[in-house]
Amino acid sequence: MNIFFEQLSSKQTSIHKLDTRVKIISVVGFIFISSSLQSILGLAVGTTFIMIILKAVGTPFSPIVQRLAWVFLFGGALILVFPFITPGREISSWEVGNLSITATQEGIDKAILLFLRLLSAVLAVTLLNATTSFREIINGFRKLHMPAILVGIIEFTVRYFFVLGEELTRMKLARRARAYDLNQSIFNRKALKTIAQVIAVLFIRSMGRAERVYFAMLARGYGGESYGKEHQAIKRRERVQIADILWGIGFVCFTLSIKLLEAGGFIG
Amino acid sequence: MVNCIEVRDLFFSYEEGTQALKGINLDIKKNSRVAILGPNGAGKSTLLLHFNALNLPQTGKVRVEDLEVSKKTEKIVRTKVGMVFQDPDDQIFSMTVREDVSFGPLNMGLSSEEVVVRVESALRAVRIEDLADKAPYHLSYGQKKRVAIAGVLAMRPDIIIFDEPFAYLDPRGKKGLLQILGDLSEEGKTIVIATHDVDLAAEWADKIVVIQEGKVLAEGDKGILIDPYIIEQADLDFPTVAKIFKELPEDGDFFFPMTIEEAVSKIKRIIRRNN
Repeated sequence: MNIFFEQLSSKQTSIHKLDTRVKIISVVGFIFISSSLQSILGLAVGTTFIMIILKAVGTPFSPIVQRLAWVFLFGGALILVFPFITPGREISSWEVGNLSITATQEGIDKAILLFLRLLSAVLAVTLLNATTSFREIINGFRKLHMPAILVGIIEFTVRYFFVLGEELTRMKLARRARAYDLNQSIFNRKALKTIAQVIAVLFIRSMGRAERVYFAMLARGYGGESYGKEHQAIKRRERVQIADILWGIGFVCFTLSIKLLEAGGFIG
Repeated sequence: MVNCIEVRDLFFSYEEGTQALKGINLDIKKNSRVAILGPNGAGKSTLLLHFNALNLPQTGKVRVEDLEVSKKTEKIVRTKVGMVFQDPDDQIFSMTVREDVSFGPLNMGLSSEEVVVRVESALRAVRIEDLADKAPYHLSYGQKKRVAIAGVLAMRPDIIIFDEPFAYLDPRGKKGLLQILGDLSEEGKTIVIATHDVDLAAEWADKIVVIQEGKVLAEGDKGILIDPYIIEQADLDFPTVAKIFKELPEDGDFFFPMTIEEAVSKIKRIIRRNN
């Protein structure tokens, strides 16, 4: 995990100290409920709720916003596309030659709804990352009896994501060293060809590395079994405390109450 | 001295058709320091993978201590022979150094108390106790190399194999690794390294094996490293110190230095004689 989140997760607020399993279940519960919300107001409340907790645990917003730039890009793309492909009440229209382009209110609402769903889910995961180290999250998954193969895949993905990132950086440097212009448009045929070749080489190298990693695991006696046996027995001091459960219930209940208010027609 | 590895008429071909080994015969004695030299593609790594049962003999035999390497014995062989890969990023994958070092002992089915003892002792042996709770991806290349070695030491194998151990290490990293290799040898471990660094081989090994095109071209003590025929055939180079003394006029002293230590003592002898 990157240093930014590692530093954040090393803080000692009451939310940082909560049991990891409770945090994982609460966040998953929040995402599950919030993604089923149909009203913009309900989702806005849910998103604000997460942002308040993030602020309370000392998370600086500006680096978070920078890291979530892709979410905003995605949201922008939705707003650019959805108003023109969703049928509904017309709010504006343009004539381009024989073509008539119409934007609808329903399309804009749908785009905002989807964007808020994505934002609230990503912020909830950010809250988990900001208050729990990656190692604790992995151990939390194990304690929640997530299949060892899945936990292993998550661990490997994160570990080798950085290794591949370093490899990509070295390849980028090597291209620059041979006078390649990194700022040229990706619609340039030569640039597209280079990018395709880089992806192909990275894929082939990843295959080679995967084989070497597997060999290195076999060399240390790996036989396909889970090696996290030490996590299976939960010690007394690791048991979930009443305070953890109360926090988890409160967190999920808040989100659930938004859903109930929405279902009752009080918001929407 | 007893052999701990015996290779007889070993042939090995990869699926795509490359014949990597073409009848290797080799004996490695217990508690020896062996350097396997050869150019790129000579078959060094392919041979090393047989010692750890990662490659199984297609034709011929490989014996590790009293076991013949086969599908049946591969797991036991891997507890007797540890392998440190060239790139530590291939070997280290856990979230912390401690977790990674415990990977091998846990696979061996040891009790958690024993695993803790072994991990601590392995970390101490490579002097990285202070890195135990760090994430491996924040470490330098040299530190990662030490973690990879600790991961193998924690399994307490009698034989340890290093594939290109000094590749990409800075001088400080090389010095530290040489010290670790020395310590392991003193503990009674058999160390086998694959390298094309003739200086390292001359400095460190007590047995040299030169491989070329999948065959053993020569084996013996470091004296074979100044044999022009062997060096030329194997696309290697003379040790740096030997290259200097080859250029000097004959002085009647037939001792040919190959290490810095030997060169210093020869130069002192020449100075004394001329005084």
